[in-house]
Amino acid sequence: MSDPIILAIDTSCDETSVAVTCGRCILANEMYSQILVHKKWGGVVPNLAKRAHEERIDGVIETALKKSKKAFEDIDYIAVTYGPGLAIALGVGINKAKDLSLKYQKKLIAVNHMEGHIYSCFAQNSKGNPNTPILFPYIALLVSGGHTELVLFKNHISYEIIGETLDDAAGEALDKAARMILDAHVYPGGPVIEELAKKGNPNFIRFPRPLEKSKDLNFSYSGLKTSLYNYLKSESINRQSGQKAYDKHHIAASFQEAVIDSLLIKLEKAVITYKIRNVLIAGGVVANMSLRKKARVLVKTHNGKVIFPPYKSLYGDNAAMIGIAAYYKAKKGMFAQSFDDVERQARAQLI
Amino acid sequence: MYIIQAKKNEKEAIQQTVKILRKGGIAVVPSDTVYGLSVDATNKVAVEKLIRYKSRPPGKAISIFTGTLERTKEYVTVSNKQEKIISTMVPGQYTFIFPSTHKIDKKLESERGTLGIRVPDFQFINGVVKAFGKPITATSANISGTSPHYSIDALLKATPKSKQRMIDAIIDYGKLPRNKPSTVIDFTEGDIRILRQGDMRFQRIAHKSVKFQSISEGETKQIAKSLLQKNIQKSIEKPVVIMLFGEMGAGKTVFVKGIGEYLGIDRIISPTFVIYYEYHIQHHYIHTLYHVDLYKIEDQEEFEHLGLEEVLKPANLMCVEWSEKSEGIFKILNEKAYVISVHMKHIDETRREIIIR
Repeated sequence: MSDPIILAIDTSCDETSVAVTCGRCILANEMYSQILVHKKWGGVVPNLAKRAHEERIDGVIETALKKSKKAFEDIDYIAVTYGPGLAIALGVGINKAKDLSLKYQKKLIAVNHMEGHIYSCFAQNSKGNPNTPILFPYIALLVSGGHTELVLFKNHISYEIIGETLDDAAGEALDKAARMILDAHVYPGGPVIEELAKKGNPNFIRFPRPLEKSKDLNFSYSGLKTSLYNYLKSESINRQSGQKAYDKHHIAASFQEAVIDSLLIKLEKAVITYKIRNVLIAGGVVANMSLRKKARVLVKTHNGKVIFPPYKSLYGDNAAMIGIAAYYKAKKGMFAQSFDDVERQARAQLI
Repeated sequence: MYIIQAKKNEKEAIQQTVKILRKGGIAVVPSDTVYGLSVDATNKVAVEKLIRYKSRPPGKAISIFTGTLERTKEYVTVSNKQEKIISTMVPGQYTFIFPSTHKIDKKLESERGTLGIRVPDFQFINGVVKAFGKPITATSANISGTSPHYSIDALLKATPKSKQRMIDAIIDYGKLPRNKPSTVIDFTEGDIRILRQGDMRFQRIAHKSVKFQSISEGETKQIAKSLLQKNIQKSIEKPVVIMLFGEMGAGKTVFVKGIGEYLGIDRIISPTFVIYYEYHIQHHYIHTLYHVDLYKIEDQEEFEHLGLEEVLKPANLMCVEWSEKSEGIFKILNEKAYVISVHMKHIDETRREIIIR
């Protein structure tokens, strides 16, 4: 019997995304922002479009089916993200999934957005590439604009959160740093920081590595944000009294270094504590090349292997990863027993 | 006369200043407004020397620093109602005039027996008063009729050598921000009268607003908890909305974490990325906490898709970070909810000012 075909929906935050997957293979992974960019907007997606999930979702479903050359009749199950995320946006995806499930009599699978990110590392294209073996257990570092978590990934659909952020997410810290350094609203700011950092000295300023000395595996970025604020403020006072202007490149590089270091300090602590050498890193911040490079070096010193999502389209929020996680849930028979089982949970945790 | 650099070692500078005051000396001291002159307010000889220095006409009163609101009540008579009003402005750039209890040198009082008291928003001065154990004078360091000073350089330039010789020590705190002299408020004439307008507007922050200074995350959370405790019952009739204003890193999320702790939610994190998180809870008054962050909002029309209006119901509490961006929903919030505004500001690396309205 061939693997089931799953229609997956993720509307956890800014993206209206629908995918069609078959086992680990992605047949289509459509995002409204991408469709929009291709159509007319030339790169920039207006925020208003990100909020209007309700108006967009049918079109994205249609596009995903068309791209995968499937019809509703070919779909075996419907998967949907129930959380964490923006409540009203989650609601749109959940309601649509329930409608389709009822209309076409398909079983429903509720997926946690974070388990989606974990499974994004094992995605394959429609030809089955790459065929990354799944070698349990893993230490999973999930890092994005909204999340920063360390998860013990013991076996399929078996997780234990071993560390998480106490305030801001790492991606959020990078975003806000871009705004502070450039004194302009740039969103997302992570790529801007990375670009600036390329020409800067990461050791120019020694920003703190928050919770570096704490025994647990938690993260914190609000204090780092305040250090940057204080640094920029004292710099601007110096500048007013005629001293040299600060170098944005050095500041960006030093800040990025502090964010990455603090992630890797806790990752290493997790690797040592749990004696697990296989690491996976997923989420939007994986787009940062410096993070990937440093993580590779770190894991190598522990004789381990680190994997990332194989395609760029899987870094940020997307529905393909939800489809792949749903496939493993289906294998274990983890279907929603009733519609009441599938309710939005804005601050859902992995269990 | 010698100059003490206070910024480098504030503790040491406080001790040296106390030594000089104890000997009946005159010290030039920094404050939250201008450089001032301090002597022991209970030492007759020192006060006379100060009046000579200032070339102050007799009968014109000189204010004192009292360190805290609590200590203030030893030196002037303050009614409970008056105390309530000034508690919202202490510490701050104000001078309050009340009837004196005559525990300080009489020459500092006005002919009517009233006395000006000041609790500055300035750690150094309050530290000196605390260490000294007695109030000290709070008069600007310029000679009567000339303009006040914001730096020691300017002060020395404008002060003749003969006068300079009368000063025992100068506490140098560098250039002070150009704040106007304090706002003077007279409470002795029945109603409240503004005698001199400084940077602080009385009408804006009196009565309804409360000003706090927090030196730690713990304190900020405590302020949040007591605010919620005072207002939580209002949620029976209307949703309660706490609007948070303040720049990056001012402590807005910490404030909401305090609110969360009060309600038994220990996993509040920043909602910047998703715009808001909802927390359903089992609480007598509050059923759902909406932790909103408008940082990412670019277009006020986005509110139409966020569903915030629909959750403005009794038993819901909404905390809104980056309320500066709330124009698109502000009117609705004010119509449907009981709104409290919280303005947060960096004072320095660890301290924050929190004004609640």
